[in-house]
Amino acid sequence: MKSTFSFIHAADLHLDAAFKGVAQTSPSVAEALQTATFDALERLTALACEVRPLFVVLAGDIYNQEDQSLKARFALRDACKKMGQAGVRVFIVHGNHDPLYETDQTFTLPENVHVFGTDGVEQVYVTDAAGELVTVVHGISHGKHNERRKLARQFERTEDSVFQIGVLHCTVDSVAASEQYAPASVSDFAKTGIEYWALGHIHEQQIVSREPFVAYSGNIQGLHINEQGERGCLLVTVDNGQISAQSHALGGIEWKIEQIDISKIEHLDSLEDVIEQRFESVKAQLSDTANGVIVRLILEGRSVLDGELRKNGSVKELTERLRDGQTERVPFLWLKDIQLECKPDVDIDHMRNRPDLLGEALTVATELTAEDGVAELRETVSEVFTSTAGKRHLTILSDEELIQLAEEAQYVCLDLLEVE
Amino acid sequence: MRITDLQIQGFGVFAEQKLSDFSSGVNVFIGNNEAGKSTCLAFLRYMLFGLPRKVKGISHHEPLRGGNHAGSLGIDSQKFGALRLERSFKPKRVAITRQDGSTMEETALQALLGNVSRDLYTNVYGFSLTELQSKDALSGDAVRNALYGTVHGGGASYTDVMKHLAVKREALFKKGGKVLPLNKNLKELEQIRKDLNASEDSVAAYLTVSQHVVELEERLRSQNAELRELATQEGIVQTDLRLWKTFFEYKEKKIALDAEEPLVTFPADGLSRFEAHNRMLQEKREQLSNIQRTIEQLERDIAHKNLVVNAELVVQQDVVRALSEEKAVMADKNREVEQLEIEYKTTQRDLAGCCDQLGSEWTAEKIEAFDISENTRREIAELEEAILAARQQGVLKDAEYKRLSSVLEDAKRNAEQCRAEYESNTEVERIASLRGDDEKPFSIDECKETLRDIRAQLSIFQSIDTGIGAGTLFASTTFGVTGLALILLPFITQLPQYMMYVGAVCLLFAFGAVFLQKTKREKNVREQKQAILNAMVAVPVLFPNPEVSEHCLLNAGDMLGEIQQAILVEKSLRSRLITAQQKIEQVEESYRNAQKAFQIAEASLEKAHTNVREWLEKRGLNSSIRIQHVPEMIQLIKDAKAKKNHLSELTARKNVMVERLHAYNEQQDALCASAGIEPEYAFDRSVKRDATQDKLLRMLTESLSAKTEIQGLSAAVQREQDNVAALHDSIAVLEKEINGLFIAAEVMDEEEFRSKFAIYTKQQALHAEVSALKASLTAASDEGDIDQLVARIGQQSEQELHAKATELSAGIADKETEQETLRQKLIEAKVRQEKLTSTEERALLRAEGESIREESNNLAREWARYKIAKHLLSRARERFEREQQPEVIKQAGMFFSTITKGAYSSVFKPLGEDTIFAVAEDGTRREPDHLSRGTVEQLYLSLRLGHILSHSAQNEALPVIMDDIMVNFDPDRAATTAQTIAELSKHNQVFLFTCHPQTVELMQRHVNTAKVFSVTNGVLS
Repeated sequence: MKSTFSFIHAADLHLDAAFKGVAQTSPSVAEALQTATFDALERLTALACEVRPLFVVLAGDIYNQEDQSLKARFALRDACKKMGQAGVRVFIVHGNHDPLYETDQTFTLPENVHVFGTDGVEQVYVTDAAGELVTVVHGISHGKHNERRKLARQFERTEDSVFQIGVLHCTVDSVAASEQYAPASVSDFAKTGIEYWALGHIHEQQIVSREPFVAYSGNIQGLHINEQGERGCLLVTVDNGQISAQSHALGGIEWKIEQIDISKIEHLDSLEDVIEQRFESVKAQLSDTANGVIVRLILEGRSVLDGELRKNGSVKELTERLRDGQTERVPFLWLKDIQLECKPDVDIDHMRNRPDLLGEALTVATELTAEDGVAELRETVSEVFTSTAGKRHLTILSDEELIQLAEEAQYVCLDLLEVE
Repeated sequence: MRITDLQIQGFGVFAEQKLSDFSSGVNVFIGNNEAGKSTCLAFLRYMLFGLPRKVKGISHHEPLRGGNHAGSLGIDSQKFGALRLERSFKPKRVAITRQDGSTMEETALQALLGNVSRDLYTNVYGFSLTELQSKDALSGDAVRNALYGTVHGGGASYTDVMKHLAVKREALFKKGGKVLPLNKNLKELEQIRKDLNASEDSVAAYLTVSQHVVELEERLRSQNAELRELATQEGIVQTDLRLWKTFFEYKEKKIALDAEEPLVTFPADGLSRFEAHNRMLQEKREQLSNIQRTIEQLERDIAHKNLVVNAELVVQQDVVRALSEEKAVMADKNREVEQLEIEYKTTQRDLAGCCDQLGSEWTAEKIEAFDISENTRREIAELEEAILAARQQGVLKDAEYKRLSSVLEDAKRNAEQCRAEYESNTEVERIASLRGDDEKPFSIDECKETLRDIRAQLSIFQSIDTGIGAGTLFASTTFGVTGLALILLPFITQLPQYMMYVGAVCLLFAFGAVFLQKTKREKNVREQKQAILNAMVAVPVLFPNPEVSEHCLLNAGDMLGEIQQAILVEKSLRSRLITAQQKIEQVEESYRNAQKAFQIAEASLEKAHTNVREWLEKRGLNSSIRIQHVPEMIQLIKDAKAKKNHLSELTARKNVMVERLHAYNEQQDALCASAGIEPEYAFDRSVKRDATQDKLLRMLTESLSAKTEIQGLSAAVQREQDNVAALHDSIAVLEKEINGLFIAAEVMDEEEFRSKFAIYTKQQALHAEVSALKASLTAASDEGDIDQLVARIGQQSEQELHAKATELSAGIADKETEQETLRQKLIEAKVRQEKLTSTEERALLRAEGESIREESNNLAREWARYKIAKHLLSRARERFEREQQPEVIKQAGMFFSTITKGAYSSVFKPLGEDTIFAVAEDGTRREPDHLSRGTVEQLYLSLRLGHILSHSAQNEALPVIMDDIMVNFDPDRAATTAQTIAELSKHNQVFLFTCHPQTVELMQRHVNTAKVFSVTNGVLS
């Protein structure tokens, strides 16, 4: 007999993980960042206690094993306890960041929690208040950091004629080609006969397939600038086999990249006004649950301000001025950085044709920013980026970043060589 | 591009200088040292490129002799034609104007300069000896700069730019560096990584600690159980030890109690009850005697107060109060009576004064009898009014009389004046003379008529005099012409002879007719003339000198006009004279009337005075009084009357008051007499009413007060008597209670009662001790079984019990120490567990790590930007040199060869090397270090010229400015250099500054068109 029930699908909680790419924040912002993943978990708990679904599935990467954060474990335990008190069960699989080791199994979680083991796919039969079987939840955890087994293929539907759910932390080949942790394909899922696949690992929320229903809930809190916008979980309702998945925002802090065309702005004062207006609009667009937003500003366009902005320390000063007063408000706004993708208000092509060093330098820049010039650029900066410490701690520059740097370098040459 | 003229408003030593007509070839500026040549060079550079950045050694040449820091250049370009470049250095402003007046953007100037930068221009186009012979100019980079123009904006050369970039990079990161930001950050990140690796696995540690806590708690629990068992045993031993003494004491006391039997009886709390009753009895008795003393005292007080009370006053207290209330009123009345007496006397004195003023005959009776009714007043007013009216009338008439007298005078004077004016007027005299004594009166109308006739006659006369009859003239002329024609025709045509005769006749006829006509007219004229003269003589007024002419007639017309005017004047003056005469007559009549009226008014005034005198006499008043003073007198009489009335009124008021005062005094006297009180007397034995009244009131107050106190005292006596009765009752009850106690204790008196109580007390104490000990033992025994307890204690000696207790205590102490150690360990474990739970050290380290990583990435990107910039410039330079070198070097070699007259054939620069070589005639290469100073300068001059030439090939040829560059050249080389410059000047305009006249000559020799200008102490010419 088909039945109606709902459950929450969340993954990639990364509790207690540090935010990447944020430096020199104010104490209040630093505190907000430190508690952000826990705040998101609290929101998830609150949602579960309010909606009271049949259960919650957490599809791996609940915390980062390498962080060895007890706080994360306790937070998970407390959250599970609260959900247990609200009559909500919790099903957990572990992922590549929090593989299930022997020692972890001694860490006790409340009785309403079921942690799927690593040896093989386990099934949990979920019944309603009347004791009638509603669904079967299948799951398996990663047992090591680098899980390469095709775990999806170990799943198999039971013979029970109820809606069945698979919980797995994995990479679906159609979504990401690299980092093939527990690689899987939609056809692997289809073969098992399981109707819903609650997946973790990919941080962008997405529905990979509708037949069977395969979805990534995404992470509950964005942790770096490439994880923009709202983050959260899926509240899935199964009604007579029909699936509807509704997204719920949980992240208290959002990341945003804002682009501003400065070609028509002639004074720094006006630029500041424009940016501040943009800040207000960014904050106005935030969800009600957001505590703050971390913004990267990209200034674009050909502008007379370009030279002024590229002067030593100019962007830093502007950044600090713009940050002033924004961090104490609610929601706060932290200006992560300002990227100059603007151009000087000069005819670069004309300058490139000049019969002097500047003309030559600009010509060289054009050649190096072409596809086959990137290797030379990479070689040029290798002193820092390929040093032992550099390799270990610095983010490897992408080709696009190198080209951007070369473009900026040509403006440095322009500034130094050109008469004012 | 060529400069055609320059204007300096203010620049260094130059102020308001103008030079024009520059040659498009060579322009030589000659001037001594310090004359301003270098300033002039700077002016041309700055005009083209603007002010350079102000750094050490660079002057902006602010105006020293006034004028704005500005100037202008006339420019002739291939690209845009003629232009005017105006530049203000301060404030910064540039204007480029075309010949048609349109303005151009500044970028046009850049286009014109072919993107030659300031430094390129400074080093290559507009250079001085300084640039040419500077030591730096020999270094590798400078060679490049001079050669390739690889010098750049902002005063930064390639080397400077590269140095700048290196400084920027090295401020961020240096290989092997420690303190630079990026090095430091990477080091910190490494340290954080190590710290994170080194720190324990908090999850594993937590699990271990948790296990340890569980074990410790278990051990503590078992320790607790053992300790409890030992404590129980120790408790029993201690109990036995504690009861040991009690047990033996109980046994002794029990024997003593048994010996006291039988026990005496005594009422419960007998002694204390007796003591209490006895004490209360004594107190009551003492109270009774006190109260009786109080009653006696009160009765004495009452008797004393009774003496103070005046019964009569108390009875008449209303009278006393009424009199006291009136006391103030009576005092006022007394004062009022005194006031009235004073006023009476004053009024009497005023009345006497009034009588004196009125006169000695005025008595009070007369005053009383005098009528001051309204009627009298009216009569006085009427009389006064009559006098006033008569007097006013007199004044008015007098004034009118005087006014008319004056008017009459004026009229007479006016008439006199009119007459004099009439008589003295020339026009009047003329008219009078015209009228003369002739019988025939002069008539202007007749004169007019005569004049009109003469004018008519004259016009006729004139027509006759000048006119010749038209018909006569026509016939005469016709005949004359015809005759003349007939006479002349035979000479022209073939006509008969007679025709000539006929013509002669006709001509004669014509002359005859004319003669006749003339004679007739002259006769007529004479007649007419005579007639006119006659008419004129008839009117001598108009024609004093008669003559038949238009002029005479015109004079006559004028004369007539004057006469007409004179007549009008005469008429006017005569009319005014008559009017004045008439006015005198009118005024004289009025004057006489006014005189009469004045006399009547005088009579009326006199009559009014008589009436007044009569009236005064009738009223018995002094008739000499003027009527104006009568009202004052009446007022005096009236005042006197009023004062008399006031005196009567005062007398009446005084009498009333005196009566009232008498009544008050009598009442007071009666009261004093009845109450037996002596009034208060003054020295004159008169009664002091106020003092007496105060005394009465005081005595009344005292009496009433005493009476009230007596009532209070009587009530107190009554209360005390009630208390006495109550005390008697209490004493009886207490005595009864004490007797009851004696009976209960079976004794007769107090002494016996007390000794029996001593025995009773001793027995009771013993009994109580025995009971207490028994209770203790019962309590210590299990379930109150005292027998079992007694049996157990009896089995052991006290020493044995002590030994057992000591042993148990030691065991317990050991256990407790052990337990404390365990508890301590447990606490430590829990603290550790708590610490592991709450520690955020790793989270903070991670956050810090991420923060530093972000900073490091930013720093690394900044470093990379500078590094790439450096790379771009290095690459650019390599390529620039590779591509630009051949042409420049080739051109430079040719110039060098020319200048050195072939001593050097060319210039060579190996690719990728900084050094430049001069190639000698024999093909050997020499570095600049091996050349003489002059030759090095020639080499670099050649390089510059090479660049200029190669650059000019593709761009607008810019003016070249050279400041004293040939000072170190020998005459031959100088000559060849001049030749080279002449060659250059075919492409580029040249400005050559020098302080050597021979250089000027040299240039003039090589360039015929060279123009020479002088620079002298800030003046250009």
